[in-house]
Amino acid sequence: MVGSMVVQMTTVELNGVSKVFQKPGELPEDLFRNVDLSLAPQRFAALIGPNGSGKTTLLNVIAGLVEPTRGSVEIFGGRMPNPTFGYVWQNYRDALLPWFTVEDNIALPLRARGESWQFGRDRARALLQEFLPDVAENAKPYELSGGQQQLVSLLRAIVLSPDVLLLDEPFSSLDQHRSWNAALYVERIWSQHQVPVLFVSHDVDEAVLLADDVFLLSRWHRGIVGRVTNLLPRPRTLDMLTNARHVECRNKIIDFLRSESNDGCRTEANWEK
Amino acid sequence: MAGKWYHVWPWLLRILGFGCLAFAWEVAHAFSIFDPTLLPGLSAVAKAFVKLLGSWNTVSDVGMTVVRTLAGFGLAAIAGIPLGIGMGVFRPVYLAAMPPVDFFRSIPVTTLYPVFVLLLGVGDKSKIGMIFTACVFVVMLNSAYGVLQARPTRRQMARLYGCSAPNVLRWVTFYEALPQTLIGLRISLSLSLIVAVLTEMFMGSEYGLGQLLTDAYTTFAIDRLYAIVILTGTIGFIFNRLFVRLETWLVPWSSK
Repeated sequence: MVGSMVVQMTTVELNGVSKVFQKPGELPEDLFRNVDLSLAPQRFAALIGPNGSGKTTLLNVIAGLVEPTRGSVEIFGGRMPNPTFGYVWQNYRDALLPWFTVEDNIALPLRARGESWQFGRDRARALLQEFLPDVAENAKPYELSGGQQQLVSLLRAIVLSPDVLLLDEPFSSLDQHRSWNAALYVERIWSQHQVPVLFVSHDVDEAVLLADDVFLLSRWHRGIVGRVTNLLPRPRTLDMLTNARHVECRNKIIDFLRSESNDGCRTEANWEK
Repeated sequence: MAGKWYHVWPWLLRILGFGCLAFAWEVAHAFSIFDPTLLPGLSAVAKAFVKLLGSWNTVSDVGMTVVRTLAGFGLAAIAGIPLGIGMGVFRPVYLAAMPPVDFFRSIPVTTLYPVFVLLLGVGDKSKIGMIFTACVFVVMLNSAYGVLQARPTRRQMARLYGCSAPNVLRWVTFYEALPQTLIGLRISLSLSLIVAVLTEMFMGSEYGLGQLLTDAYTTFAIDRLYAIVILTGTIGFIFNRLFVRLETWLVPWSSK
């Protein structure tokens, strides 16, 4: 427990963040309200919740792509003027550029910030050699498997050495065993870069396998209702999926997700009467 | 199993369609459904076709028609693609330009024939101008739609990674609009051949397939008339095939 006693340098802090949506002619509705969340570089954070709980919107609020209705997002206590983000989108077909080669896709964030293509490609090739030696640098994204495309997307996300890494269900379209293996890739890459990370998932095992903290985002309560901590050591392995600690975390999350299901809502609604 | 017979001999079906058509023609000719002098037999048309191809003048006629077609089409592409992308990118431009573009697209270019003759005369300027007018709105609309249909994730990605507006245009929006732009160009290419032949027929010209048609028609060279029709159709067919090749080469990702 020494780790948790050290005063952690929190680098991303959400204070009372709310997002309200209003369709024309309807009453405004909170997607989530008063979300407080801290992300630290040494702790891998995952976010789990049912569909419609606002997981992606919360990521986009952190990335600055969506303005929160209330509350603030502070990165390095607001001391960083232009923080950089690495982002992996859920749909790999949409997020990579099929007219560019794999190395140009990875080099894009560097090029966008004024580096030469050559410099970007050199960095891209080094990353590919280290983490994806099977992928040819001049292949086109659509020539790769779905999992490889998402890992290319992940390398693009880290090429800038970003201040914050955001992953939105990156492996949800892969087979179970492939998504777990890809998750271990993420751990490997993250442990070398040590940036604050938020990994959105709806796969319980994947979230527990990767994370130190799994935050539970409730649709019913419109906010974060709990945190499940996985104390298993790193690097994680697939053997840990059946470890008692893993299973314990998993069960807590499954209890949460069951309470979020329609049955749970009805029970709670009855109880409120 | 080696597969269905029509997978083993696909060319058989490909020529079968033409075969049926030729058969119907011959039947119509043999039973005099139309006046046999006005619908000659295929052998007579084939003979006229060979004679047509054997003439040096035909090369000039085909050449001039192709040059006019490509000139009008090329100008429409050069003007239409940037205008269309501009419409797609800037909402106010779209809102302002859409009604007139939609209106002019709806005017059959043939109704503008007298206007072109009055303003530009009966030379190549007028012909190429009409081809340009027929095509430019189609190109613009398709490029604009290509931009508007672009996947929002990609622009969001470019913005998140710090791409400036011109770079988003260069690296994302242009390519996103490319498949739809090429569809617009392919439609325009067919249109430009139609208008090229039409203007040659009505305005007249020294060389050109349209002029050749008018000549054959007015001198009652019926076999030759059909041969010219077939030659013109062949050129349109080749244009289209080449363009489809170009599309698969330029946007290999669009089907993936």
